[in-house]
Amino acid sequence: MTTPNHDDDAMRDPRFDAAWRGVSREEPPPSLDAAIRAAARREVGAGPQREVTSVPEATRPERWWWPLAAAATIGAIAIGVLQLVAQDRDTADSTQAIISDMPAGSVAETAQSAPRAAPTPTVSPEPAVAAGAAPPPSPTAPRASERPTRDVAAPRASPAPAAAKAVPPTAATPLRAPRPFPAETGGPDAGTATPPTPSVAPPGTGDAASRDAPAAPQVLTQQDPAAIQPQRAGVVPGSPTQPQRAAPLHEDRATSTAAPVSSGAIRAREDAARAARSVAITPRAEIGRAPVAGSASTERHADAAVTAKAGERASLSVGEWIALIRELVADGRRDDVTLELKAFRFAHPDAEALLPPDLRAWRSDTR
Amino acid sequence: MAEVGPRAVRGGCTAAGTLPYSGPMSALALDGATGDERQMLAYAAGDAAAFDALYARHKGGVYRYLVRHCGNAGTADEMFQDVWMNVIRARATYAPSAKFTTWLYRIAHNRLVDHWRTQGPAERVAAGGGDADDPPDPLASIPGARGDEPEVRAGAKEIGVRLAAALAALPVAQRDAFLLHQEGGLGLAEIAELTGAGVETVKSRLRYALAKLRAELADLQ
Repeated sequence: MTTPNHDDDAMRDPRFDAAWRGVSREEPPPSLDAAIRAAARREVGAGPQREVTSVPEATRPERWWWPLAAAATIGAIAIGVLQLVAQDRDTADSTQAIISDMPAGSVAETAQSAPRAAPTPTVSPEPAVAAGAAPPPSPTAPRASERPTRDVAAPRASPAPAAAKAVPPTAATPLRAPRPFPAETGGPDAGTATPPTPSVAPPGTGDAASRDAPAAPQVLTQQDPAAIQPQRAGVVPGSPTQPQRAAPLHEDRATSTAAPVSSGAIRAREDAARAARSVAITPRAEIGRAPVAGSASTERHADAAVTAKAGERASLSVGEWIALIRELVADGRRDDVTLELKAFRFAHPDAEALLPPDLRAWRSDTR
Repeated sequence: MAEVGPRAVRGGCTAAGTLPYSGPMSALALDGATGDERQMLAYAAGDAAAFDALYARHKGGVYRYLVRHCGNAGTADEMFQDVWMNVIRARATYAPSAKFTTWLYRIAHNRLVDHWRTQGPAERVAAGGGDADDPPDPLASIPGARGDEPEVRAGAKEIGVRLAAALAALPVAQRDAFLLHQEGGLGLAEIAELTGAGVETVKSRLRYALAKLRAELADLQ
């Protein structure tokens, strides 16, 4: 580009420029203007031609599939939402049954932080309880081999009487009635701190090998109701005490109309049904914590009485509970003793190890 | 007159021959571009509105430059259309290496030289509108203006006639320098670059042209 020269200004005469502009006003004819502008637009492809290409007829082939695409998108979204809703519903049912089991640690913390429901008398553990710390020569041991599936279904119920003895009774979980299925004991030392999970395994069979045995869900789903009932009652099937304990259980069911089965029993039934639905999809590690579901409603009535009693005694330590049972025995209240023993066995998977020999062998027809 | 012909032959009048500044576009050249150059680049990129702006800004000067030289409106119209069509065709190779006005008037100058080569140089420009092809009096086309007053209209017409006559009496080189300076707004250096003459030569031509025209209007002022 050239730079402006100062001589250019010297050549300018404003008066002459004004006179020249006054007489020099010729312009090209408008027709020539239009022709040149049109040629310019034609060369660059701009102008009215673009408006012609935007008429609907020209763009219709590109738009016919829009409604179909929108309908397909909406349909796909609807199907996906329905599938997610159904899946969430199933997951919620299964997780609710599992979540209801609190870990022992959190239960203990809750127990320590919450006020105690009732003062716990300091009852020294009886020597029988301590003696029961050693795994007794259980007659159920061979039976465990006979029915390994039941051992597989057993939760982590490794009784540790020594540790249970070391735990002070003040660590008891406050009573949260109705509590049809007490939470599982998270560790050996929590055996007396919280009401343990209803055990289906006899004492001495809850070793690690049996706990980690596979095919637990299938076993649970295949158990017959008749076999589940004595499990929940803490009775070892085939043990010498089984016939005698099975009978009072039904007696209690008949006489348990006065028992508070209204809300607790209903919730127990609901939990049992929910647990039964979730067993099939519950991981193997969760099986031990999942409550065993009974199938017959009549058995649930008895369960309700037992679980209600167990809930009432949840605040008591083992020694206190055993002392209470002894008092009932001394008073001759056989039915109460039977119910208490059932509740004790229900609340403690290792009840046979915790009970003194006389109560372990106690029958309703003996004195 | 003798100076214009050979240079016009060298430059030619075709679209390719009227693009002395075409070449690869550089960022530096674009940075120094003015509004005209940017609009020409925009038009080259497909913006038709940029061409409209350029055309509206420069059409009068180019048209008057051609009309004053050839003295015939029909011929001027034809040359005017050729000039702008060359601009339109040359948009793809346009590079803002010089002022747009310099590039535009070079195209018009070369087209005029081509006309002179084929028709012979115009010895005179019809003054006073005596010919039927002469452009009409511009003042007469302004309705309601002061030019409608008889005395003003008569004075303006007299000035226009006398200026046109004085301009036609100028040598072609001086007239060309005067019209490029007055209608195109070009500087001395740009006129010298366009016509191929030296700056001092252009300065002298311009000074002589202005002196004659002022002398023609001296008794009126």
